[in-house]
Amino acid sequence: MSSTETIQELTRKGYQAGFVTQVEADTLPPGLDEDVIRVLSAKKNEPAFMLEWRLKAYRHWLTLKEPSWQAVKYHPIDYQAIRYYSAPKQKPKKDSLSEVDPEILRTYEKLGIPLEEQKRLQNVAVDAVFDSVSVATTFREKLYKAGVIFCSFSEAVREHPELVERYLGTVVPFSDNFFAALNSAVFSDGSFCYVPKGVKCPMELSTYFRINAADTGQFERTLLIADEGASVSYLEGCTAPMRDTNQLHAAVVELVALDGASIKYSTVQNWYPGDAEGKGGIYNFVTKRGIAHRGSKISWTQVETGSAITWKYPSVILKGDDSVGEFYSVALTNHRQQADTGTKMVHIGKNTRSTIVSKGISAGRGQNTYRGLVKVLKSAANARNYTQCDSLLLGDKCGAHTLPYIEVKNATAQVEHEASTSKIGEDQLFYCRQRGISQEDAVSMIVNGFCRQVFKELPMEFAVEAQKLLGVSLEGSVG
Amino acid sequence: MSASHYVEVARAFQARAAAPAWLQALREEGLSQFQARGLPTSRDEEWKYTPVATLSSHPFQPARDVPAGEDVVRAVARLSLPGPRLVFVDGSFVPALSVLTGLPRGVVLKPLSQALREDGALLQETLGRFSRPSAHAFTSLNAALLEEGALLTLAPRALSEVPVQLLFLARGGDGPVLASPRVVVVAGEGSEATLVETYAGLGSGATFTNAVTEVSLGDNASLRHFKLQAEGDTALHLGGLYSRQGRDSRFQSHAFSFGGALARNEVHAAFAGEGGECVLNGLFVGRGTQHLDNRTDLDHAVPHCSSRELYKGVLDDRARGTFHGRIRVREDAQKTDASQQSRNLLLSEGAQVDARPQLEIEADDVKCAHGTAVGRLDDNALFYLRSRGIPKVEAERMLTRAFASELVRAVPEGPVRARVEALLAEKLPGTAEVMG
Repeated sequence: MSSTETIQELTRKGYQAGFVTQVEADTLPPGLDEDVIRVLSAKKNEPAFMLEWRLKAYRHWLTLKEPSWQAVKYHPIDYQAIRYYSAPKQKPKKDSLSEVDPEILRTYEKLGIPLEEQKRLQNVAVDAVFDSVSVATTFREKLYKAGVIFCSFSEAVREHPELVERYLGTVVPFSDNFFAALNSAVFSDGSFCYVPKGVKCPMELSTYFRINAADTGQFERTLLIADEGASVSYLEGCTAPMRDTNQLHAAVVELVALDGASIKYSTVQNWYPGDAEGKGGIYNFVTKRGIAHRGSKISWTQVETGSAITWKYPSVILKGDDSVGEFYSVALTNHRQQADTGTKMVHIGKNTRSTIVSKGISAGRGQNTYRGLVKVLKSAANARNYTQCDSLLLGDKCGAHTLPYIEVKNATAQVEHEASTSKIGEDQLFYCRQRGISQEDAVSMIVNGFCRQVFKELPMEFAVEAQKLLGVSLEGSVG
Repeated sequence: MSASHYVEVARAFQARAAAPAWLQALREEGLSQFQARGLPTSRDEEWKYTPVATLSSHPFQPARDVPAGEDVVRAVARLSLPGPRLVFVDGSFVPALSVLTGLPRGVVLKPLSQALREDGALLQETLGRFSRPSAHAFTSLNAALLEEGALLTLAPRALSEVPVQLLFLARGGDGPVLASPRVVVVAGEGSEATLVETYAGLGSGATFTNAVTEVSLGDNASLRHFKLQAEGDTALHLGGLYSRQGRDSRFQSHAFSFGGALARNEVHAAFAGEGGECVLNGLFVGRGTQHLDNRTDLDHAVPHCSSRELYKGVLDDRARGTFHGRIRVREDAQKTDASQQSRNLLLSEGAQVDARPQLEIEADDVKCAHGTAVGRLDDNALFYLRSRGIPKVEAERMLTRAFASELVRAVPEGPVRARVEALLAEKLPGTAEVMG
């Protein structure tokens, strides 16, 4: 088989998380106004400050214009056609998994998410978000003993309002951008985590997001706080059914790493990417940002294989002296997928360091853009940044773009950016084939090698999943 | 004062300067484009790091009457190289100081005002062809005020061994002066030449130079283009070079930006035929509160072309430097080989730099890379020199010179390199002895 055919073969492989779960849902009619927000807030029994905040965000959102500078193209979104709330009907409170709708449990089982306690992976606590609400959180007790609060955002709002009020919107204010404002107004759930002073979280935390209902938007919000000297590793995964229409996913993730804390945030994003002709799929427009105080570390790792459009820049504000920011990314675009992703590292404190490793893979008619900002302010003496962006092109109809912004206002800073673009060489393939490795395996081996630097940053179970996912998303693509 | 001032200036100019209908149309188009765009602001992505508010600080006007005094004669003697040259002061041609002898057969050099009378057909076809006035506020302003500059034509296979020079002196007269020179180069098939554009300041008058150069290279033609910009500390300089290369042609642009309070140098290079080669080199050295901006755009529109780009910046005091380079590889441009490097040296605490290297790639069988670095002098290298008894200041100077020398050495040995070395030595004292 010629390499082109292999690529085509590989790229044709389907999306395997695309089934729909039949559950009764409690859904609001499409449309957005202040009343919708009030109903939403009431349904969730939120304290007054939350409703106030939502309404402020909504009013601000009305004054904003949708941005147009990005290198992705999509049909205008009708914000009045979206349902802003959809929750599976069930008993409102779940004390144990036995109360969760078995249909939903089966969904997660199909996706390989170890929700049921006996089947779960050792040492991974999972919070599962189904459409708009969190359906189950596992391992709560063990975490509670360690002092770690890990629950759905709605529960946090009810049970730890002081923490939520103190940190919500401090990293991504509702005025930050168009989609962050929309999210602040209508977010329905998400995960909340607080790791107290000096505590090393005893297990990996994980949230699994699933969009199920049609015409809904998913607007979740994650807030993760690592108090002084604490450390935590957090994973998120996402899937959605196959539908012909596009669905909007506008999430906000805020990370706060106080002095000496360490947060590792990993994402394996596999929203439905649409079909080969670009019909359907998720618009993944997400704002993710962390603030790193003195001596702390925030590390983002992302594997982006899904979504019709991925548009996000997980960022780190290196506010404290000696803080560290990292960004490791693999973004794959196949068929007509588009990705405009990268990071922002804003160096404010002295001796701050950041590392960016971005691997973009384009196949089919995919368009992949790395857009990143490294900003060294005057106060950031001895700041250091290293950036590496590599693009791999599989096919002659795809595109790879690298658009870094480097702004240095301190002469003691050292900033390096390197980027390369290449395709899989005929000689590399020949070398593998000559040793009896099939064309397809050779391609997948080379692609995995290309991404190795990023995969090795992922927790082990996820690294395996990410490799498989990449294989599936790419099935059939080499040039 | 803002865009409207320049609109009035252009209107007044167009009313008084007689021109054939096609030229009048070109000027009017430039004016209406400029009017439509207005002056760029920092919200304009292309001008994000370069504020042009200073353009509104003085009521710049085209100079009407330019007597060439002693100062001009001295400057020409100091700056010119042996060989043919055209001299301009504040945008006006000075025949007495120009040299038109010594041009090889097939090489024609003339001031644009003369060419507009004699070569209407050629200019009508070439002017504004590559420097689309619609794309750029200052290119359209240049078109609106188009009158003077130079035309260099090379007949097929013509070969000019001595460099052709254009010397633009910005003096400033009684009031703030705006010069809008336009240079057109039409290189026939297989021809070869070297063109040196020198921009320098005389005195301390307020000057604003808004220059546009258009280069058309025929198949297998070769042009080395040097731009030495060493205007005064208060000068404003905006320059755009637009080139289009035919099959198997070779184009080199070497841009040295040393002068100006605000100087922006743009190079827009495009391949129109396969097998072309392009080199874009740049060195900018800023001190005081200078703002030096470099913008390059390389369009790999056809397959089998290669390009090498290297821009280096040295920024001292409170100077600010910008590099924004884009390489576009179009969908069909397979076998493209492109590399872009930007290196920046910050010498003092107040200096700053913004870099935006961009790769936009739509073809798969290509080799493309870019790299950017910002930093200060290497501590180890400094220590090495100091441990050998070289004082700190001298050691720093040596390393700075060494950093800049890569681009000086890219200039072929001869009078042009000597001129670059001399200008750099003025800018970085004590430079000369390390070069060469």
